[in-house]
Amino acid sequence: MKRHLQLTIKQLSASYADGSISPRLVVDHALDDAVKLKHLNAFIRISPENSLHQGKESEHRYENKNQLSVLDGVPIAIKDNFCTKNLTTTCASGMLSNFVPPYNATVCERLAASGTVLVGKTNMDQFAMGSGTVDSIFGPTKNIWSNDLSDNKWHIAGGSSGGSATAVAAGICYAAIGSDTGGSTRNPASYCGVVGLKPTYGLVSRHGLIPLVNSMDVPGVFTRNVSDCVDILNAIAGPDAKDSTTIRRPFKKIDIPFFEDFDLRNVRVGIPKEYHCEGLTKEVLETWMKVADLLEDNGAHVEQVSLPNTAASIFVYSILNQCEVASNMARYDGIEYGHRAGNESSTEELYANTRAEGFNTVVKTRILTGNYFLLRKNYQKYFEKALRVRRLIADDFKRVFETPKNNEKIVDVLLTPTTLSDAPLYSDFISQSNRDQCAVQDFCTQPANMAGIPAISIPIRLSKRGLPIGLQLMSRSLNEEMLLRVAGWIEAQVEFDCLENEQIYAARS
Amino acid sequence: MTTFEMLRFLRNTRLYCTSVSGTNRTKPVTTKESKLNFKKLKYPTKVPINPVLQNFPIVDKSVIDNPTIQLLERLALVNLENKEALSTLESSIEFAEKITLIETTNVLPFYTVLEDQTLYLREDSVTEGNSRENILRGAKVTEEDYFVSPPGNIPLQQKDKDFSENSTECKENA
Repeated sequence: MKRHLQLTIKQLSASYADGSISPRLVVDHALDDAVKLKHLNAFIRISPENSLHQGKESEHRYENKNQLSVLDGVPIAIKDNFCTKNLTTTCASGMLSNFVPPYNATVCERLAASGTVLVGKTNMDQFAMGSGTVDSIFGPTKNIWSNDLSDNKWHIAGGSSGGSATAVAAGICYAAIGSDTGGSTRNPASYCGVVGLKPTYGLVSRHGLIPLVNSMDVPGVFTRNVSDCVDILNAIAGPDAKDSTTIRRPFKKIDIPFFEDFDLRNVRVGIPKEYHCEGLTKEVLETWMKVADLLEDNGAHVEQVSLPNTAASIFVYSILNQCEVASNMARYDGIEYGHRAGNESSTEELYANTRAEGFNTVVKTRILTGNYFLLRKNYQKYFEKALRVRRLIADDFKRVFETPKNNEKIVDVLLTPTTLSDAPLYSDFISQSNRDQCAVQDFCTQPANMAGIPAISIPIRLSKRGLPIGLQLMSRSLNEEMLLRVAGWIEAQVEFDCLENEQIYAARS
Repeated sequence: MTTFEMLRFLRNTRLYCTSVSGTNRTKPVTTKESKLNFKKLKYPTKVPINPVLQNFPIVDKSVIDNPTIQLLERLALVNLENKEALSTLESSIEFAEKITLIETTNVLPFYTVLEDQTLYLREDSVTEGNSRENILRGAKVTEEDYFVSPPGNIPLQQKDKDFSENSTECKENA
């Protein structure tokens, strides 16, 4: 086990600065590990020449004491739906298998400006439509916590950002960027035993993130601890002139002292009762109860609250997702970029053939369903109705966070499960249709996307099967600081070791 | 020190980075005991013990007729692949029906979570130029700095689909 893997980003950067660890060596190890753990299929593409060069540059900067930030020389990975200049960006789809963007996404640009070293682009469900990282043209990603990686005995990594979660969980990178539309960052974070943050909608620029559902998409952050998550968020958050849907208020960097003695007595924690839904496993329920108990035992005000429209949220999410997909996917016609079919008999024929060849069944079916909901005769019945119910869902959150009714008290954070169970076996997971998979997987996560509020999944413990169980915290818009403080406090209590699993030792011993 | 004590010791000091060498740790323990007892609670729990159920109307499975499939395919320019895709489409519609009875009188559609912010418009001026080469680079077929598309104004050729029970596979009749 390489000892530098146990360090936080701040500690790593301090070691670079005092010369005890070299950025080149760390980048070398990261590339080495990416190859050793290739069987997990975390990466679609690694960029060794580029990363070695960046590692070398970083080393020079530390030698001359002009490092760019605390992130200088830190190996990271980025999901393959963020545009990277001159580096193929596929969305794990045949449609973009040859797409080389001429520009960088803002997130990539800001991370590069901070000195991070990009190891590679990570695996995902095609166009981020899924919750398992099983629908990629490059094959599924395997969960590093699986006891057995052979045949059909392995567990899914979760998704759609399963590659990014795995790159961090396996110790290849210190941080990774994913995207989160209905839980695509928090779900794999929970299954892979790492921290996964979905920031407030509009806090982090979507420029260069290939859109799935524009009104819900946000870039997400994966790290092995809360402190690292703060460092990455600080580097990427804030208004962007290239994305008119970013919040224009300047972003104040979050500063949480590493060993702070956080006083919980002023923290009000809500337990939304509707998140105990059918299918929640006993172990997850037990974990939820225990952490609520811990918070209460240390002085937090813990109380049950109600978000009555929770169960309707998954239906609304499904409608809005498919409608926006129908519109977003219209851009793929084979003319300006991406796959182009051979049939040149007419424009429509070319479009239809290009799309028939480039998209998988999941993408096609969502496009068709979205078009059905948007038909003139259905528009009000489904699309507009869903938008009205979306307001009810968002209002539920507003009520518990800001404007209580009757005798209710307001809360600072909500504590819920992230997923209903630990990571399912691949063989069990694929026996269901993509729609049924998402309906179960996204139950606890997608309401936060409906309302645009920040949410984080943190690992708590291992299940009997030796797989991670995570919990989710949500807060009101732009209250990331409170969210991360409470997450940091829980992290310190549960002492979950992200790197303590057999596959990591097997690969590195 | 037993392996277990060693692990505990290392876990507690991990942030200070003690050396974890491979020699004295050949086999890691994956199902470690947590120091927390998850069965034991100090206070009456605020988490509901039983699932909180919400009822939604049970609706009949929608049936999508052939002309509708053809219309959708023409609008979307993607093909409905097979019988499974058709049944997913139908069950997605059934899934969507669940919200139709929710009371939303006087509730306005919620288009964006940033509805309190006016949309920012930038100056209509060139900020990045000379990118013709970069932009055309992505296209498979170009001619003299133009994208190329085949002749337009020709309707899509559509075939009848037969996903009925007695068709064993996705049979297409011209």
